[in-house]
Amino acid sequence: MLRFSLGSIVTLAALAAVSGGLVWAVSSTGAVRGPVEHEIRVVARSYAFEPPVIRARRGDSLRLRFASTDVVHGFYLEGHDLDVTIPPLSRRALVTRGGRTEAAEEVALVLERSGKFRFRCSKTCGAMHPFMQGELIVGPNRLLLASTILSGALLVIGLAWAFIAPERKGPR
Amino acid sequence: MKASLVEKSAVATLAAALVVAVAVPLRIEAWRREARETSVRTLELTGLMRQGVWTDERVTAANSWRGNFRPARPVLVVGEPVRIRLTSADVVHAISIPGLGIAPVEVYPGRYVEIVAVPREVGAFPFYCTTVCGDAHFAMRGVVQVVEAPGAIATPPPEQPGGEYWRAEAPRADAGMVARGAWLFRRQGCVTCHGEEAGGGVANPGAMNANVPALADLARRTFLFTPSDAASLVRALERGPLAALEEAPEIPLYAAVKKQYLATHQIVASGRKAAPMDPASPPPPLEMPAWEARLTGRDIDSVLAYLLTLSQARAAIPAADPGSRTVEGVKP
Amino acid sequence: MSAHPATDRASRGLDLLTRFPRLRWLVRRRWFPLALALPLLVLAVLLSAGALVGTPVGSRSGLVVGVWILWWFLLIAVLLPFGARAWCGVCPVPVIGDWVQRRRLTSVADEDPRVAKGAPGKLVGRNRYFGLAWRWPRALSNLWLQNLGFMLLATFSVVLLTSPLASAVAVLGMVLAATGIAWTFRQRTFCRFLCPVGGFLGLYSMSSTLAVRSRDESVCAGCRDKSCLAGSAGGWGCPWLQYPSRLDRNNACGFCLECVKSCPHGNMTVFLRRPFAERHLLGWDEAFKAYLMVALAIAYSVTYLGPWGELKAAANIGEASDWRAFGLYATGLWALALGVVPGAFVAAAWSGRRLARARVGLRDAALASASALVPFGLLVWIAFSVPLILANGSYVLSAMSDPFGWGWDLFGGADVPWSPLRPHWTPWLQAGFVLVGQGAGLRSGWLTLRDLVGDRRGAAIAFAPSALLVTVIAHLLLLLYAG
Repeated sequence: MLRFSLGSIVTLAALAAVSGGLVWAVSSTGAVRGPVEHEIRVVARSYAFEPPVIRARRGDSLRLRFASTDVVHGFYLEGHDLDVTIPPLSRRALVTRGGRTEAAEEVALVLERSGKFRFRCSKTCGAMHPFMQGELIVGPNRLLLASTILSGALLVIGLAWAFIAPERKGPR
Repeated sequence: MKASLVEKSAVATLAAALVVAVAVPLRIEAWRREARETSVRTLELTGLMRQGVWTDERVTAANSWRGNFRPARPVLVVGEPVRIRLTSADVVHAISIPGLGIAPVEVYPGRYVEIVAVPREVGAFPFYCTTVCGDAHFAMRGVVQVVEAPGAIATPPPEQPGGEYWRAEAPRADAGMVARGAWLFRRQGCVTCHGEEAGGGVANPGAMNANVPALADLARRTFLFTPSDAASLVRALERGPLAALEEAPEIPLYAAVKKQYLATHQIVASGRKAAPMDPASPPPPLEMPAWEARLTGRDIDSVLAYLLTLSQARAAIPAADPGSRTVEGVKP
Repeated sequence: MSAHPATDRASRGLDLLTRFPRLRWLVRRRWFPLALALPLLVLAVLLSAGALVGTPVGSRSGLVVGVWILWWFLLIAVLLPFGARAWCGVCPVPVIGDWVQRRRLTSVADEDPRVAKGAPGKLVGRNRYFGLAWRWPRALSNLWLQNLGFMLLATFSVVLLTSPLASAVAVLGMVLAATGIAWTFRQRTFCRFLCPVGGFLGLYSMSSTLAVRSRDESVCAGCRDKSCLAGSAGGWGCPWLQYPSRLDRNNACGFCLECVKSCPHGNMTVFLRRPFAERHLLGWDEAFKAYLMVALAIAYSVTYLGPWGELKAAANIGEASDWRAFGLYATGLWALALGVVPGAFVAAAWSGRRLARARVGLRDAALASASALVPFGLLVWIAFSVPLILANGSYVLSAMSDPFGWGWDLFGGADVPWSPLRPHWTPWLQAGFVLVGQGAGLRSGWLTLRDLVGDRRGAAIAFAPSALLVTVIAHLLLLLYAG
């Protein structure tokens, strides 16, 4: 692919290692507070959830209640075994977990993994149904940190290499 | 270079394949239309949320923009089995036909549900959509008529209250709480179950209370026995929620009034299922929805203020609610 | 000769037709790639005709799911990066038009122009075409109509993607338009200058790993017939209005493989090469294509993949009738794609040129730095498409089993519930594609500026503002996808 000199490969590797270490260092120092329980009422309407973004930290727990203002919506949380059918104008929702479905007014969830998990509507509710989604962001968001740092590193290393690496002799 | 035989037959095959590709779906569609019209054995219903109707017309991608599909008015013959095929053209609906023994069954968009039913009695049996499917949900009802013999004339059922209630025009912003409550009572579809001006509830087949409660005596049930008491409470509501009111209005037995009013408010906010008469029969199709997801506390107060204003005129007259077996007082 | 010797040499790689004789045999058959295009045409017409009388529910429509989930993902993530404009070679849209022009499916109308006289139709080179066979006007022989067409489709994309009626009208409309243009203008005018899909396929095929090129320049130099251009008994003259012997960029080569069949010396072949090989943009139309594709990727990621319902409702003009909100959305979209993003990159090119004190025109500097957006745009579009297939790929089986929503079950999958496939991998995959795209884009941009400016450091300085802009966009997308 690209003809990198040994020097630039070493520089790249060093920078990747440094950014990786930075990310992990930053993310470990963040976890000083104890787990928090968030009580959230998720209200669905065509085509968004309110709140659209839920932020929490790893180890927190969520107590979710559901409501819909117009038609039957669903709440499918990526990466977790949870799919809720939300009938409108009712406090009871149909919660599917572990293969079983039962009516419930509240769902309790412990956030064991960090990352970005989208929740999507799982019951066809109109034209934009496949794009009806919200986000659960469980910190520390290592992916965002790492990828942002890498992106910046690409710019910096790239420009630096353009300056530092020796001029190639002969036709390219 | 002239086209060879292979070439010509390739072109002919392609042309034929294209003609078939266009014609096949159209032909299948035409067959289905014929089958629907000549046979009374299959009843095909499509749910439409925009119009709030179960229609027996075919809804396709090419015509779904129409807002004037014909509401289904099925006429069945007693003792003859009928295959009911249900689908939805937009969102999740559910259908319930207690008179034919059909408990609520969910109907998903683009998918079909088939039910075979045999009508056992002659009469008019309402059918309902039992999953809230949008603004026009509460109009999504109809009547299945069962006649004695094919060709017997069925009397048309009465029109259900409410009409196109979701098109009700909002009052001006300064029109006051009672006017807003009147509009909400119509716009949210309350009128379709509780009747015009809450004067008479519709039937709720299979429920302990045979009819949806009419709310004509709401004032009396809230211990407001004179029109001026009811008016005082409405004035208090206009100032703010009762629970946050510092200065109690001058109403006799105010503590009981407030408790009763808040209990009523809670029923409107969190809903209540209708108690079934017979657990073995299909559950009652109508229940009080939980309006808290759609109406604010003030909206609910507006509706209750409207109802109290309506019923204050009858507060002094003893209750005479035909067909209602409701127990006196609203239990929290 | 070719304008960019560096790119020209980079276009070459492994000569696939020499390395794999069976492949060479297949490619030289007159019925290939038509044998793939014909069934696709029948399928497209069948699904579209059925969609008109089928269910209005988009997720249950074989046409909507087949085109916007299956075909789209295969196109942007597999066919385009690895196969250049291979889709154009099997595309069903121009098939009827080709037949109308040629009055043949597989054979070739080859006539000696010196002796042919009096027959109906027009002789172009050695091939006789029916219809009017007019030349497309020079002023429109660029990407501008395709840019506008794609922007129009993008504005109404919600309706197009979710409504079986709109999709059927679009597909059948394209077939009819292509056929009408084929009757009026010569060869693949529709594909080259009008097809909205072809617009971005051409641009991103510059980064692809396949390329149709001539093997040996000296053979072409000694060739009198120029069969690749004029046609011969073996194949039609290049329908894409190219001169295959001198072909050095992928943008307008539609992989119809006529030149491979036509060349009497067997000198045309398909090369497998490194990705991101071609970098030079030749005009503002191509630069604006690159700008608007990146702008739309951002806009789509915000609208479709974001959690903001007001934006989705504003774009959803098919269901709501809030024309005011839609007007705002559409205006924002066009302003972003044709104003903000191009303006930002032109400004970056201008400031880079000043910083480096380079003696190059603004147009050349802008086109050179816009070359960064070719690999970047392609990979960002792949990143955008990942959740479409992971989250909604299960619709393919259920919709294809019941393509018209009539209660069928052709493949046994009609009742398969919606089941996303490892959807929590999505942010990782998306971040990965964005980073690879950014890296490849930075490389392309700098190398192209170096070709223009001459020295490494000058190019780095001149590229720095554009590079920063690309990185900012990458950060924005990472925030959207992963944070």
